[in-house]
Amino acid sequence: MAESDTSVLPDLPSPVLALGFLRGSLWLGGLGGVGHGGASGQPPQGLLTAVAALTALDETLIAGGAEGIARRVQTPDGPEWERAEVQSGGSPIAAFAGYESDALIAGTLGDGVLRSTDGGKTWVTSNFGLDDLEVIAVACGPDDGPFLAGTARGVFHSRDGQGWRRAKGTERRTIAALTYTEAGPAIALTEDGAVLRSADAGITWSAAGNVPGTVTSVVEAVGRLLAGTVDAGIWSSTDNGDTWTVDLEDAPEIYCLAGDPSRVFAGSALGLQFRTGAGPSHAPSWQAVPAPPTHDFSQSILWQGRPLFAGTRSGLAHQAQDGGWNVLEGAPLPLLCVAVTPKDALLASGPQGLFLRDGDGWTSLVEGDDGQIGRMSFRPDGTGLASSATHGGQLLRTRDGGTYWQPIPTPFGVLAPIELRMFEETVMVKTLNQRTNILTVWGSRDDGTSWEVVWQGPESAGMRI
Amino acid sequence: MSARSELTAGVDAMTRLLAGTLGPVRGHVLSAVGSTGSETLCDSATVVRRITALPGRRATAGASIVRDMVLRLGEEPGDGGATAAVLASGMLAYAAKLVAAGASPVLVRRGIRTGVGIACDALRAQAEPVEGERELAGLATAVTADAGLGALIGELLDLLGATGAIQVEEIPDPRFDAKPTYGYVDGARWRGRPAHKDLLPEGKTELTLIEPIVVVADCVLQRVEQIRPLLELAPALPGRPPLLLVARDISDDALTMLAVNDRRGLLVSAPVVLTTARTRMAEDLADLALLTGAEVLSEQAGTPPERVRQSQLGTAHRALVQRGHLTIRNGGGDQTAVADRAGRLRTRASELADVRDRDRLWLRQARLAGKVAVLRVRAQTEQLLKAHQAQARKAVRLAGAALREGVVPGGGVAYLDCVPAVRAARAGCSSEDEAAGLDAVCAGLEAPFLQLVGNSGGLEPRTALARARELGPGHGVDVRTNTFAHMVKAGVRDVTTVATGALRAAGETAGMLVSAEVVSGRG
Repeated sequence: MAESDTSVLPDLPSPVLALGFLRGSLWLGGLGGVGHGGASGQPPQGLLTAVAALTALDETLIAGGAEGIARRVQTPDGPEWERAEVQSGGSPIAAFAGYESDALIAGTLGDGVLRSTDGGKTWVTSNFGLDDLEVIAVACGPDDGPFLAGTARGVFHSRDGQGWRRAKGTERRTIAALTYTEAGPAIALTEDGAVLRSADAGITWSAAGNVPGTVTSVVEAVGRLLAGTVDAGIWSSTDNGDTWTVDLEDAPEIYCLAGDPSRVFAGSALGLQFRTGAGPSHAPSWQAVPAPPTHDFSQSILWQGRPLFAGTRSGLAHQAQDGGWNVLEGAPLPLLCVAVTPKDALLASGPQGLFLRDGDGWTSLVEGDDGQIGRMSFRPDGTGLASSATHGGQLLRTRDGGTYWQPIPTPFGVLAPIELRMFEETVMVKTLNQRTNILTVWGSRDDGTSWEVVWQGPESAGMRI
Repeated sequence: MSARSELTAGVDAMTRLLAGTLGPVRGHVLSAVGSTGSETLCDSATVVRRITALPGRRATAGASIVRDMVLRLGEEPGDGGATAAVLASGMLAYAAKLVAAGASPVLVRRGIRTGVGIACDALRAQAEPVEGERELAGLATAVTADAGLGALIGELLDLLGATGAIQVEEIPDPRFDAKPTYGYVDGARWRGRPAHKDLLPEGKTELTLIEPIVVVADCVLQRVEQIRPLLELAPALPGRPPLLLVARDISDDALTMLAVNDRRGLLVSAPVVLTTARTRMAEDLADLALLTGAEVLSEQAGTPPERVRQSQLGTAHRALVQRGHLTIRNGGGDQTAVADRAGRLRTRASELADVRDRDRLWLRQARLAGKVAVLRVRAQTEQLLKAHQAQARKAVRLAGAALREGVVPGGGVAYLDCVPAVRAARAGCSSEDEAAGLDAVCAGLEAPFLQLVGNSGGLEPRTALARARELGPGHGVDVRTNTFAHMVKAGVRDVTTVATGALRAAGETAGMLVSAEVVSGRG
């Protein structure tokens, strides 16, 4: 998890994907991890990225992202981040529910609902009765239940998060956001803005009003319901969702909302927005507030003599001649690998393949699966090797500084190289079997044509190449 | 005293003990143990187990017949032993007099059989479905006398539905007030283990395979030749999916080769061995194959693993390998075929007499449908654990039966409401002796109502019977309050299967006793 170091990273707005309060203090989740106003301590790098869900339990902050779930726990030596044990196939976390509850649940995009009964340390799948394993939103009732799960096939409800039943009146609706209101009714918003309401704790639902936009989030705060959208700002309702009026019109994509009776925050593509005020007659007064950047820029290299930052989801940011920063539009995302060739050409790979920066655009060099490169290394003479980000079945080799690539078979099997380095006369590759934690170092003296195992042993031995 | 009279005396003696335990305001039976001890018995199965002999071997034979009937009902449908004894005694008391007066025992017996058949049809016609968690919980609570456990069972059954299965497990718990817990099986789960210990390294308790291909082999894999084709086929598949290999056993060179391939990273593989009983393993492997869309590899079936093809591989969304279980989630098999097999298993289960065989088939169909829950009863001592487990199993079975077959008015009223149908049949009966058998059934059908009202001690039974008849079908006495009520509306209901099972068993017993001419035995 990267609590960003603002003195080093490019000064660019970063999207806020999740918001949560810990002891009254606002925390936010972004592409590179978690941040808040008074961050302290340096959590380990890469523990969690694309944090889309945050919740708090007593003194513990729980964050869900692309790699699973992590907890920020209080220890005698101060706060520490630790990875939670998650029984699932590694699907990204979309939402949490169960604040101040015995049971916490998490919605995932692929593994359904995860449930924890030990404060978020361990999570097991809990999908009995759930027809759709892409759970976009979850909510927990005021009395530690019942729980609600929103999917592309409607709402499901459960007394304790173990067994799920389909709610009536939401069939074939893609649910984007869920919440319980203080007054009692549960509110669900569909992706296309339809508002559904339930007065019986989520068992049956009926249509209420409509939000004119693509909904991403809903919250009850400052005496009203607020709905965030991708394309129509923020809308509010003071009658439990029957009628909606615009609250913030000219806004970037809103990803998340969090608040209480006196204030509300909105996370957007460009940072954080804030408003106060309760009561239906209060005029909305949103304002942008500074937020710690949460880019996932994790790699810094020199290109054209100036720093270039690369992040898996933040993309590429290049320092301009005047000291400002330019985002290189059109870069493949999520970014799998970036490298500068001996001729100072910029290469970047993503799910669509391997690309060369050409003027203001990108030229495809290797398309499709073969071009999903995870590691690249070059010699000064223009010879280079590239390994796949997904498997170890082959490498790509270039003799002309990266313009033409030729596939060569390798014996690494399903294990994608985690390190690839070309030396003057040799090439070294590291593979790691994450299940057994066995690290293997391979060596080649003929530029990758033939390989032999140089060393094999437990990862903890810390072999470096 | 004639042989039949002595036999009947034994039946009556046993029935008197059982009749006292009938109903919610039931009495207890005090049993003297040895020379100094005593114990209180309150359920019919325990009562009959304690009575091993009566004075006179013919009386003992009569008591034994009742005991067998009660124990049989305890196995299936799980309850109704005392009711059956009261029903049988009522029929026998009436029929024995007629036989003593010269009626043909064979024709009387035939009349009883006919009358019981008509009454069972009338009972089923009265059945109403059980709807909702609360009603199921009420039924389960009536069996367990534990509102917490009853509520859990009600919730589980309501969510699982009529085709679900609940496995009852016992967990020793040092806490005095340990409550039962439950969980749902997320997917289809079999008992199994990793074929080699390195699959789950130290500190790991499980392994999740994402979108694996599934190979099911109904054989022991030992030789390299058996798995080499698979190790060549799997890595060549698009995306190099992980391999879940399930077999009867995997050992020797085959296991070593899998481990070497896995260690070298050529293929992510999870060899798993099912640990179900060997005689049942073929069934489990076949179910697993069906669920995942795999074809079972087996020499006998002409599909040896040496000739494995891509079309014989199955798929799943997730496979969870743990030290004691293998769980498949969202198998890639043909859902229609899975539903068909589940339906066939249900049909076969309903035809089986053996409770264990039936439970196993029921679990298989529920597993295919992904409708299995686990109820964990907890207690400090083994004796308590066994008692809680038996009670929970009985409640699960009865509430499950109620979910499938419905419920009828309780308090003996359902039986009373069968009398008009039997009387109508009697009117059309040409044989006087056979008609006497039908009359005996009518007499028996009144017996549970009279006994329940008598046990409560608040109303005179015959007067109450007359009043109930005046009020009409469905009405009787709520013996908890000694007031007349519509039994279903008052929440007094019996499980249809139990009511019909008790009546059928009572008819068979009464028919046999009334037609018995000779009692033989030793001693």
